Amino acid sequence: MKFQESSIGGFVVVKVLESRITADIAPGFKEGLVDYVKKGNKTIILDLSEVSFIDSSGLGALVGSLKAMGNDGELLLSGARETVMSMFKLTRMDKIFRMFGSPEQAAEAVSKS
Amino acid sequence: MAHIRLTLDSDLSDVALLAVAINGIAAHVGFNAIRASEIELCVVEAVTNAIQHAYHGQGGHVVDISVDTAADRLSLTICDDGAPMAPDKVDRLMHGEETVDAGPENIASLAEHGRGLQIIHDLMDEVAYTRDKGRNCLLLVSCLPNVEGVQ
Repeated sequence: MKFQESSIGGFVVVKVLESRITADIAPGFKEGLVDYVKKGNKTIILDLSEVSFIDSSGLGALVGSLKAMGNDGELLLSGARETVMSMFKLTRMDKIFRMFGSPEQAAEAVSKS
Repeated sequence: MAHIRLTLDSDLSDVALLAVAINGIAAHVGFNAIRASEIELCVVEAVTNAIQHAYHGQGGHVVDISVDTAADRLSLTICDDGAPMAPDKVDRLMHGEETVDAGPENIASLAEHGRGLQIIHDLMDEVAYTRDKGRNCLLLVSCLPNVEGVQ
């Protein structure tokens, strides 16, 4: 599972360097994100701009990662493409995750909240 | 009208190649990019379901995909020789489930699995599941634009 880590405004930004989040990589994807939670990151901005396809297993891994954040943590999503966004809308996950156009917009929103 | 058959081993890492082929076929017969992606998604869900549940995640088995094009529709049939689909899953596939809008306040109760069949139910124009002589077949039909008001 390939991630690229950076920081904006003190928040960790995790960019997914895979074009597809599907059942074959979903366990490793979740494990990788949960590792960031275990490192003590209370806010994680996930950059999905490189992802062109996500299936229900990938979505499940995101839900599992969100649950791992606990009540005092936040997993924010950014840069979802149209095909990925339509999956979130179809499954109503757009009501669960806070989604932003870019990591910068996500960081700005968290800073103000 | 055209007909082709694709076969893959029950290996999740092979599904992506099938998926892009299905997306390409869907685009070729006239679906727009979003709808082609939705059809691709449904095939990925169906094949993943066959590998993970019918074959219990074991490799060395075969999943067959038949692709039939007609003037008004694209029909995809995904078949395996594994365990039958559980009755409650068949029911979810055929009729869907009443979904309760979740919100940030009930994240703990969100399921991590089990959305695939609902997605197929929601996105396909026709769905049929048959079990005959130890073979599972799932038919997915998507009508082309401007036919029966789809898209």
